[in-house]
Amino acid sequence: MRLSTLLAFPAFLLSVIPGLAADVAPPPSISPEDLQFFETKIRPVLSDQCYRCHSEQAEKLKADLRLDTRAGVLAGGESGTAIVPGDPEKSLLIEAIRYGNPDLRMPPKGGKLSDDIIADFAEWIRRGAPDPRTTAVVAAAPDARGTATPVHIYTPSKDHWSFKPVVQPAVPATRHPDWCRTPVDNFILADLEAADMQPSAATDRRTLLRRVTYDLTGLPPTEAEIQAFLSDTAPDAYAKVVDRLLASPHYGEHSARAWLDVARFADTKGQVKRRGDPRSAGAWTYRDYVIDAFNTDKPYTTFITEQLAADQLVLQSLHRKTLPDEKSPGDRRILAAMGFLTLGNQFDGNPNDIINDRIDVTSKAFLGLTVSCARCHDHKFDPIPTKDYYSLYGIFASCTQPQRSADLPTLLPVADTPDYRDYVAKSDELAAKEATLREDFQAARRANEIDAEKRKELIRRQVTLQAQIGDLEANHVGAPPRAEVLIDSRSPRNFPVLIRGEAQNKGEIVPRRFLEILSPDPANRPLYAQGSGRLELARDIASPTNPLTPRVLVNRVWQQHFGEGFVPTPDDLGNQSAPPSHPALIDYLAARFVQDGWSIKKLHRLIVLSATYQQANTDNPAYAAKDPYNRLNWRYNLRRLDLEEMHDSILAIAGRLDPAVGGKSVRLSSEGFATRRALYTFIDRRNPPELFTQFDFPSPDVPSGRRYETTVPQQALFFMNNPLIIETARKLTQRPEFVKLTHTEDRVISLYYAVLQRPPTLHEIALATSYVKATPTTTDTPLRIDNTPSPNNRRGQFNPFKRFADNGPVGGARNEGPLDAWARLAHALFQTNEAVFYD
Amino acid sequence: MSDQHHHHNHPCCGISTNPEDYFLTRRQFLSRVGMGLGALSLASVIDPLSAFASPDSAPATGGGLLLPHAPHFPAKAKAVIHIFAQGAPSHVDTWDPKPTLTALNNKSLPGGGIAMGSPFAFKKYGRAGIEISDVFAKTAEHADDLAVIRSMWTDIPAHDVATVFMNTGSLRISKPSLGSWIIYGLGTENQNLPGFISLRKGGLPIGGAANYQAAFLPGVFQGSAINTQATTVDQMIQNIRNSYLPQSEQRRQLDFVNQLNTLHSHNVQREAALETRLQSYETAFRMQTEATDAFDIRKEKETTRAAYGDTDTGRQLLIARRLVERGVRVVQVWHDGWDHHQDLETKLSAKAAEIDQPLAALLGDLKQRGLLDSTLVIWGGEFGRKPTKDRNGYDNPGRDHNAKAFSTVMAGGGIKGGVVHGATDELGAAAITDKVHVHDLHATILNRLGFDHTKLTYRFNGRDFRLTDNFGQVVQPILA
Repeated sequence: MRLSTLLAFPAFLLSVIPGLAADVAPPPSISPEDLQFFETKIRPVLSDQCYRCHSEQAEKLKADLRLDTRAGVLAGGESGTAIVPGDPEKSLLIEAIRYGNPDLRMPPKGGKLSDDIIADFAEWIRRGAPDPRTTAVVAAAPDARGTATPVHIYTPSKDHWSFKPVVQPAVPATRHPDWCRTPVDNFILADLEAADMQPSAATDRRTLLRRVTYDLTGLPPTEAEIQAFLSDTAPDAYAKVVDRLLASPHYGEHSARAWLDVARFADTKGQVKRRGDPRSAGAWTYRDYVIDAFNTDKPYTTFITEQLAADQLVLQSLHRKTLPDEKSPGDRRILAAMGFLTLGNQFDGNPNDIINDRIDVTSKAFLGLTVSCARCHDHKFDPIPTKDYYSLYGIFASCTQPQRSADLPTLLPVADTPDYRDYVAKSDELAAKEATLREDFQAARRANEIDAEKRKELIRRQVTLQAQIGDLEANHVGAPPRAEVLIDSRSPRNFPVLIRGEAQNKGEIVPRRFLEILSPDPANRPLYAQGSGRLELARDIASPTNPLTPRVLVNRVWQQHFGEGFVPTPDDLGNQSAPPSHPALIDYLAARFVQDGWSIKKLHRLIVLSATYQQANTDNPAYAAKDPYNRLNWRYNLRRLDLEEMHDSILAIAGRLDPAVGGKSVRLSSEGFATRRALYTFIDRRNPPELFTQFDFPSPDVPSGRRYETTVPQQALFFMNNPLIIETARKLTQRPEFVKLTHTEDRVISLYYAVLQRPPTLHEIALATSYVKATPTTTDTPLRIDNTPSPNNRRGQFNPFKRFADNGPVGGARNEGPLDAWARLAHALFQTNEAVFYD
Repeated sequence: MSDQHHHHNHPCCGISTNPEDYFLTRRQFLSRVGMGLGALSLASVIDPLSAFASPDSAPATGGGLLLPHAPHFPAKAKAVIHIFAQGAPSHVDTWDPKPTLTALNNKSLPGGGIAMGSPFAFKKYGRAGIEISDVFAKTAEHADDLAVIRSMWTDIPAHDVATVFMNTGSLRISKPSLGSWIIYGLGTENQNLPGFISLRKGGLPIGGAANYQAAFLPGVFQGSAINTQATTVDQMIQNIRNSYLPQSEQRRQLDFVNQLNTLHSHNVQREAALETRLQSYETAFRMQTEATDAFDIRKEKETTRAAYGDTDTGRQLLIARRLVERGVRVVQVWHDGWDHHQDLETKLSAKAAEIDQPLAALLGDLKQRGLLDSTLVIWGGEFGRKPTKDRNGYDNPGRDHNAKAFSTVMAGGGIKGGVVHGATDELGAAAITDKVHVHDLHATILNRLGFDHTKLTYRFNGRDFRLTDNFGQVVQPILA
């Protein structure tokens, strides 16, 4: 029976004749259980054990049997039908893998498959061989090698709301137009009225100021700001506050931190190639760029384009080709924007993983799409074929990244100062050492006798040298700020699909071009022709007709103000995401955003000036039962401060916060952490500070548009025991204006204003007074706790990250002695729920 | 419109796989107004589904997430002690005897290289007569409790990649660690201690925090790294003690904070997170005492401490037992320095001596306390070594890296004792019989803890992830 030709037409021929292939019935819809079963039990085995001989990728197709398509499986091969759906016992495939027939044993090499796998295949066939693979070969378009090129058909829905063009909906009428302050309110109120509900009352002004100040700057309002607002009776008092906050440089810092989460930002490179220094010399310049972009309200389209292709923009402006209105042609400062692409993990220098990371961050950040899912197979849920992934892959594979810090462009023309000259001298010295070392390595390689000691010594030298270079770039006062750029390689080209994502498994070559689902005319997508195509990609993403770009941004900004976006998954607006809570409103805001010149500040105004935003956080059991998640926005949500807001608030309250904007990162254990805003903290990708992790700081290896909000005892321990908190509380009671207060009641009021931005109630004054009065008068002897970093004995084993295991006391804070009753009260207020929530 | 909120509850163990459940906002206390966390906890212990099944009651908090959950099926093991012999221990000198290699010592092999017979003798131990090297003579006395897997293999023989791979099942992409998956699935028994603790000496392990990270799982599932070289508990666990106030004063302060919190809760929406945060302070307060106690091995009997030995490794394993005894779910113990390219005879025997006595003591101690049955003990590295001499160490030979073969030893927690599983070829160059890949080891560990490794999943970015990716088969023959 072996190799007997039972079929007159080989399956291969069948599959390349369009009319016949179309006769294969379309795949019936497949249940999630069956899909899961196929994907976990069947597909991996087919792909590992069978495709080498029975698929499109086979060097020589064996027995005319293809197992890489549903059609192929059903058509069978030379030996006949491979499977009889529903009847494993009659299926040749089962006979073959059971090894019962000595003439038909599959796979032929490597031995019989495990009993579990065989049982899985029998189960699969018994279930009717459900197979989601719809990549039937429907057209024979022979490529250069004369083999047929499959044309893929995708089932994931293209009809999803977010893929459709944004059309600005009419502002709906409501029964209470007087309540509406911006068009946002008409949409919200119309939905509430339809549900027979009413919005909550407006919140009090003090609460509103605390809310909007946190939302826009990440900081609490000062007492002076509160008093100014409370006493301003002008109708536009609140609008003036909003303008003041949007003009504050702290606005840019606060917005930047959210974007840095999305951009999976860190100060180090993760897994570094060949003993390189793990620090990214220009990481901080990217952070400063982002802060500045928000503060100057850079149009979002420019923000996108610069992060993806600032190098191209600088080149173009130097050549005076475009951007006729720009003030300083060839301004290189925007190059810092490219840290967006380059500041990911370096994955030991593995190019495929690095490119995957760049595709991932680009598609999630701007498009709310998980394109990286299509690296190994067509996206299971969104209409993103693998070919689209490799179109983007070709773009990023046609780029290079300077490996040495000294090769990174400086942001500004460098002034010839003594510091700079000293830096250059030291840099040249190290470069010379590098060259010598390279020669020594080569000499060692040439020598036949391999000397282990010699090699060890070379490696030691290399490690030391790389660290010295890293230190020089990071610490020398004359080191110029640099941009972590990506540049086009000299010969950009198209790349093949890597089948199943495997580097050695090349498929057809795909052109560099935009995603099919987001192209106005998918069949005639323009091919990217300018260098790598990054600039063209940026322009396609930033196009006003791109349906996703404005919706994704609007959703992120809404989330910033309400705690949750219209779509709860900000990095995924695809088929898998929940439907938007307000489909018309998100589109209205998206359309307005584009009309308003992609101004994020205008978008903030539209939202925070609304009556919706100004509602109180009220408890309404009837409404809560009806709409437990407040999807209809019938009140404002209680919000918890995130790590940075919490840290910055405590410092700001004690008057310790350094208002300086921008600059190099500071270490957690340095004084800098106790004065600078938390977003300036040095983040080692391989070891983020434990304090940060405990407070839900996201993994810097994945784009993260939304943080988890967990509550763990380690967070409480920080508030209860850490000297940074306690010493900051003490400083609050050492302020001259506090010290001069003599009445207990006045002191309580002062601390309440400082920590909670409100006066205490009479009941609270009484509680605080009795707490203070009951404090033992005897001076407690503080425990002697040794907070010095513990020794690091890793003799003889190199660990480039050891230096970044920051074990020192947080903010360098140490116990400064016994606490009096007032410091204890201030410390207690920092620990309250109210101090870390706002409403 | 609440029906638009999809809750992807895990079909089997009641773990929410909906990231929504890990966010605070819009989470309410509704039907449980006035009921403390205690009530919630109890409900979720009795019926794990109840804690998450209803959107009305989801306590989106660490406290709730770490409460004990029932696994897919009854578990054999409740806790794991994973001793990571980092640096890739030579299998042919420890757990995988190769007489043919010894016979060919110093001869050129057809495949290249010069054969290096093990300098160590092997003896038979236990009823099954498992052959074990003299360097593990003390651990070998427990042979009847050991399952020795001699057919391990992995993907890439580079230390950092393979180490992270052994701990996360992922070569480069950031994925949650084994310990994080376990406490995500099972929660932990003692809410006053972290559920997953990584004990290390000094700096970070090779591969960094990736070895115990939560990655895209909520941060509450991250391993807590503890430097056991620190001389005091205060240095081991951040913020574990208050250096300003005696405990009575701290208690008084906390009571005052609780009063203020109660007043505050009357002014805002009913919100579970407020109550949970309050409870987390109480837990933290207790943790100060409990954690200090757990790490204080001076409270052990002199004889017990002597059995483990007063060494770094001895203290680590003794701490590991104290933690497991107190309900910590996963303890990862780092014992590195197994990278013997040269001078293997001296260095490997010294390295093994560091762990042999403590490991033997741990197994005996767990057994005597009736904990071995429920504690899965694992010893192993990230890959193995070649049967030939390393080119770099002709005078003092050692061995080079080998991803195709290594040995891993398991005991307790539903593992059959006195078993050798799988085999390498006659030189020990590659696993050939009943091969066990890293994914298979992970599947087996999860199985002993009561999980079908294909069903312990977490939805992230629209995809269900699992520890074993698309791979993994349980090593059935070593299951008790």
